[in-house]
Formats: sequence, structure tokens, C-alpha cells
Amino acid sequence: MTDIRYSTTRKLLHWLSALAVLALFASGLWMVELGYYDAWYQRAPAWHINVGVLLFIVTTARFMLQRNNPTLDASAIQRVAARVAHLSLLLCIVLLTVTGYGFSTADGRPLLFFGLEIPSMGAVIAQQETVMGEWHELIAYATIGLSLLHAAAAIKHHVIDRDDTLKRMLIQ
Amino acid sequence: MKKLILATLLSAAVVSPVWAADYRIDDQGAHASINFKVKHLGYSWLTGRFNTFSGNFSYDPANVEASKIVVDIDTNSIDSNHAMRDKHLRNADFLEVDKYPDAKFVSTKVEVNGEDAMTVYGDFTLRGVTKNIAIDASKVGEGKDPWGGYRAGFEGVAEIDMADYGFATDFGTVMLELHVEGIRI
Repeated sequence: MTDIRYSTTRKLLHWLSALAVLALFASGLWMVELGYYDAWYQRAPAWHINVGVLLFIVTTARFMLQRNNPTLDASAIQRVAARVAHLSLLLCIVLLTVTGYGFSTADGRPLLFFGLEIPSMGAVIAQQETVMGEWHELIAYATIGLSLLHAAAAIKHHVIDRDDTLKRMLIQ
Repeated sequence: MKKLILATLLSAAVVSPVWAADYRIDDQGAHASINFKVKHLGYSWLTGRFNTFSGNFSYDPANVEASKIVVDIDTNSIDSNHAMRDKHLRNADFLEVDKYPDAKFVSTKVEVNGEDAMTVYGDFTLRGVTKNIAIDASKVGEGKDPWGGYRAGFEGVAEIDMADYGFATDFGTVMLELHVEGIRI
């Protein structure tokens, strides 16, 4: 019998990503409401960007790592559904990175990633800071929706189907 | 009927011997700007401008009190040289441009304060609120341009209080710095 569990590295990256997605979503909701004189007004977006770029790097690495994906015994339709959900989540994270980068660098100023300057590409569409800001928010909601679906599916496999789908991702 | 029209035209000509010239603000050639500045934390001035606006004025050097000016401003065109700040300035904390896409100034009275100096009173509408404001203005110059037209230019300053216009965020007084060059039409 083949070992269907994921490597420790992939498990770790998965759960760190989950944590980052939740933290980014919560911080995003919170920080846009901050008043101008709030001590976090400058700091919160700076950390949101730091963590966001890290999530993008980790997601790219995970995408590279998933080529020899161990598979469970599952119906074709389940496999396709899972694949679509996972790729959608990946696409969401890529789009969140692109729009986040796009709206915060629309005026040509670089993006600061832990003090490192990532050059701006300027504005490629009109009113980029507003338009991409709105997309960023919408895609963030879609990401959370997909994440909930993803978590619900894992719990369903564990509780109802009583298979190892969730277990193989747990760190024991 | 023809006589009446003729009489009316004649009497109008007698009452105002010099016809006030009408000018279109040269927004096309960008020889006009609507700038603002507001205190940042009380430590410095933050400056910006509205890039899109249009307007007309009439001006007669022999009868300056009869001058009139109307300016329409696209609030969405606010530009403070910082995309994220401009985005913030457009949202509900400040200009709420979705709801109030236009600002407008319509002069109501012009007072002459000396040679080429005047106070232009008028209704300024911003965020749907109309208040009377005073622009301390002066003529910079007028005359023929090299391309067959005739131009007149003015500058002016005005103060508005953010609280008067229902801004959700109040940074106090905003100074408006206006530069207007008109082409006679």
C-alpha cells in the first residue's frame, strides 16, 4: 500500500498558508476601517503586504511541489471537483497578489516587502487604485468562500465518508 | 415687432456701451488649475489639485462688477500625487465621488477692491452642500495671444471649512488656489 500522506514540508506549508489566508482576510477587513490617527494606520497595511507576498511565494512553491501528488481512491467526479477547487484557490491567491500589487503601486511608487523595494509597473488600467482595490476585496471574499468549501469537504470526508482525506494532511 | 426688437437692441447697446466679453476657461490647453492645500497633522501643507474641470466667465475691464464665472469640477479627478491617498479622498470619508461626482462654483457678486483686484462671491457646491464663499482674486493680465485669439487670466484664493460641507473626516480649513486663463469666445 502506497503512503498517501503528504510530506511534513507540504503539511507545514499548507497550514501556514491557511493561517495566512485567514489572517490576511481578517486584517484586510479590519485595517480599511482604521482611522487616520490610529497607530496601526500605516503599520497594518505594511504587514498585510509582507504576509501577502510571503503567501504568494509559498503558494508558488507549493504549486511546484504538487507534481507527484499522492492520490486517494476517489471517484472521477470527486477528483475533478477537488482539482477545480484547489486550482481556484490557487488562482484566487495569484489574483489577490496581482490586484494588491496593482492598486498599491498604481502611482509608480515601489511595493515595500520587509523594506525591500519591489518596482512598480505603474498603472495599466484607468483608476487602477480604485478598480483593482474593488477586485481585491471581491476576490478576497471568493477566497474565503472557497476555503470554507474546501474545509467543509475535508470534514465531510472525515466524518461522513470516514476516509483519510483530512488525516493525511494532519501533522501527527 | 421688428421695431420693438430693434429698439430693445439699441437700448441695450446704449445701456452697456462696451459688451462684456465671454471667455471659456482653457482647460484644453491646461492653462488653468484648481489647486488645494490642507494641513497634514498641523505640521505641513499637503497639496493637490483637480485635473478635470470646465467653465466660462464674462469679464469687462470697464465694468468689473458685472463679471460672472461658472466652473464645474469633476471630483473624481482629484490628484494629490499618491494613488492610495487619492483613492481614500474619493471614498465616503471625503469626497464620496460615487454620490457627488461634481462640484460647482457659480458667482453671485463681484466687488472691486482696486486696480485688477476683486472679491468674487458665489455659491460653491461640494458633496451636495451649497455655501457662499468669497474668492480673493486679481487679474494677472489680458491681451492677444500669438495664435489669433484673445486671453485674460486671473488668480485667486479661497478658504473653505470641511465641516461646512459634511465631510466625514474633518481636517479643518482647506485653502483653494485658483488659476484661470480664459480664451475669448
